[in-house]
Amino acid sequence: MARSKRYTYHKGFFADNALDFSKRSSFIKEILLERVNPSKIILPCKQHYGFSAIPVVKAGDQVKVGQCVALPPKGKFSLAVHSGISGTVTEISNIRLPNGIECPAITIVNDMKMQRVPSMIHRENMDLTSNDVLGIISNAGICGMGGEGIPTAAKLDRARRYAVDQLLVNCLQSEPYATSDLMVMSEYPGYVVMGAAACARACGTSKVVFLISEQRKMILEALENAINNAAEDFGEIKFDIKLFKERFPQGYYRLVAKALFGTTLGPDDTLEESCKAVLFNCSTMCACWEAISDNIPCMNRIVTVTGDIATGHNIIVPIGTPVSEVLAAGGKIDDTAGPLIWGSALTGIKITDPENTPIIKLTNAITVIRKQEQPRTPCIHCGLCAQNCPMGLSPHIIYEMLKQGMPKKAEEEGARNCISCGICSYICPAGIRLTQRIASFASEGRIIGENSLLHNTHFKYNIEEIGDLSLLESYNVDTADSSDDDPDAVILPFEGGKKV
Amino acid sequence: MIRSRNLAPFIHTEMTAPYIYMTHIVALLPCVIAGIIFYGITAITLIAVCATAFMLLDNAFGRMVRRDGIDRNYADFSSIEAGVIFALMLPPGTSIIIALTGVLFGSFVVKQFFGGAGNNILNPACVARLFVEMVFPSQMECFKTPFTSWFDITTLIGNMDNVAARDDVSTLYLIELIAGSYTGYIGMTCAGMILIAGIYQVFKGTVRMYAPLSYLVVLMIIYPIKDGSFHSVIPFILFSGALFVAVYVLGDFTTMPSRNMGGVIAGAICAVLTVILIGRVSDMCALLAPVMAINFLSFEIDFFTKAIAHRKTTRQREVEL
Repeated sequence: MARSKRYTYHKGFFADNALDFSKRSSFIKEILLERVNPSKIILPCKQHYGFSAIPVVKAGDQVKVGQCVALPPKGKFSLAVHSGISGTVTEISNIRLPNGIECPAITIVNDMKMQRVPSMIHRENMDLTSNDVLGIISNAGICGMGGEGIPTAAKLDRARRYAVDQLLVNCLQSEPYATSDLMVMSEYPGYVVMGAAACARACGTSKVVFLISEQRKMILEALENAINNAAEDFGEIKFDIKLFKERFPQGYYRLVAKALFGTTLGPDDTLEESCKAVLFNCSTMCACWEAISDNIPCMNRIVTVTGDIATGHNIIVPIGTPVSEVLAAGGKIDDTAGPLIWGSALTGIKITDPENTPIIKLTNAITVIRKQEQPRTPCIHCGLCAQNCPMGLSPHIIYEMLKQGMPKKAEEEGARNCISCGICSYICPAGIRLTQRIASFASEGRIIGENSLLHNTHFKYNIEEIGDLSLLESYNVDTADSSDDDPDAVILPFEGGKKV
Repeated sequence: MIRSRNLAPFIHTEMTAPYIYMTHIVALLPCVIAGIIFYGITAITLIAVCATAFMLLDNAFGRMVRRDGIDRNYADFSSIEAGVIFALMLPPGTSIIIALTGVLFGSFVVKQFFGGAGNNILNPACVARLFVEMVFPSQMECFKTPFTSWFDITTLIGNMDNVAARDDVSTLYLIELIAGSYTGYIGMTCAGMILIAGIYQVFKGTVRMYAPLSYLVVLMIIYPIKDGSFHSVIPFILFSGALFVAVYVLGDFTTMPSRNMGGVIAGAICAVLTVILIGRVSDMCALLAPVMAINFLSFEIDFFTKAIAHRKTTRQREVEL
């Protein structure tokens, strides 16, 4: 397929290479995919937007691979949690995740038997309605795995209500070092394409567009082959590929809207309403097809262990695996290693207790950064932050306004539009921590992460607010056996229809 | 509560402030070398004295007024840059006392008075040069013939016996203008070296090129209108020092507008003012006074261009709605 146009949100030409991190990734040279079998997992019950799930196991219970261990509270905006290992539940206690979320966490010690729940087998009957697909995806506990965390079924349902024209699949992993999504595209292109097609059918659209970096030629070939193979099963779906220039943070939905549709979205605008399109991460689509085709819930994900020090490595990790065990499998880390980052180097969060910090559904990378001191100098008014800000803000001016106690002026300058991508701090020659100050201000009084790529700002919210997201009204996905005798009964996902 | 030092980003571009200033200093080296080749020990001494004095004075004043949160060990390469630019704009027959007077004025009154590196609203090197032009006009005509006085240091202590008059542009060939081998300022004559430095800075991304480009283009358009001849525009740009100003002064991050459109407007205004002033005041005043005016106005130009851009976006959104 000949594609001449290259999309990007950035219209300038100067300093273009500053945010192209493709050569700073370990992907090209070191492709190694293996599965970690951890000695224990710590499963937080809230890894997504919405309410925390409620544990349905207790200490001493035996669990199997794929077993649901926490259920969404009835009528609440939440997601189920599944175990990725078999073993014994040893503890259910509260945990505080690095992003500030507090919730119950289930600790399961691995018996190394890898016993699977019997329902986790290839689905025979693939004659599914769109409600069936949404139900499967919901029960599988799948949420946006690119860092967004919105339950995928809810997003699909919203797309269906807005009658979107196209489903976009984000294959643009443009942050430095992290390559987990690229690995998914490289290893499971068929699953991504089939998952996207199934989701497109579920939300009533007939067009699927894959957004991919022009630098990733190998992945492009794999994707084209997968599309050709999927064309037989999804004849009515029209597939397309759009090439993007490599530039961080191109995959953010507001920047995709700007690049693809020329539309500038406000903080409260949605892609569905404004552009008649819905955007999903490629890892999410892969997880969806695993659930639809093989009945596998969201219990594993690919995580990149990378950075200045660590040998680049992509690993399949059961959700809940402590970071220390991921690191142990991820390669050598020498004495010059500095902070350990939960997430990518530009949007992640520093952690100090890797033994008790788990990988969650949204963790795409563990990054080890070299110890370094950034020289701190006065602002030289170079304007590089403004030149590179993806939202077109002037961070140096907003920073000064906030520093001088002028929040209203800062708001007029568009401070609330900050998406916490970290570019201004990264690019600032004076080493001023612009992102922290501006993103903290932008997130004040707002719902977690609505304005953030990885929710790495100071959080001022309470859990009740999260449950009141507007998506809740539409989160009434039909599940099987809804006409059962007991109106309060809940079907345990992936347990063969067992009721609780 | 998450502590702020635990928040992203954890990596940083290699282009730090010292790196930018160091790149600027490297870009000045071709002109420094040309100046040394033409004027020998006098050029070396003036450049070294100005750079050192600027650095020491900045450091001394900086320690008195430095704000919190700034690395105390920060080597302020911006001082060296300002000192070298100032020295390159001097005639080779300038005495050390005059050079030091300019440095003192530029460092204290212009730079540190407003808060040091990054806070000065005027380019310290330009203001220092204008200051000595105003205060010592006759000494600013002390030129030397290239290659003839490599070891003559008498001018450094105020001896004006061996000084020469500045060459007339009408007597020079284009190749001489490009090579810089004519009587003129220490580092402003060699157009070839200045162009190389400009290309280097653009390649490194440490200069804003909208203002310099706009300045040169507008000069090329309006100078012939004033002069009545198209043939004189290129010699004028090469000889007068306009190219030097475009490459080393108008691309400055700190004192010029930060928006692209602002740079274009600033360059254009600067060129118009230069053409108006040329012939009425000394060449150096005609070149640097417009730069000062633009430095003063750069915040307003940024504000103005931003307001226009913002209004355009708002209108576009209103149409879409």
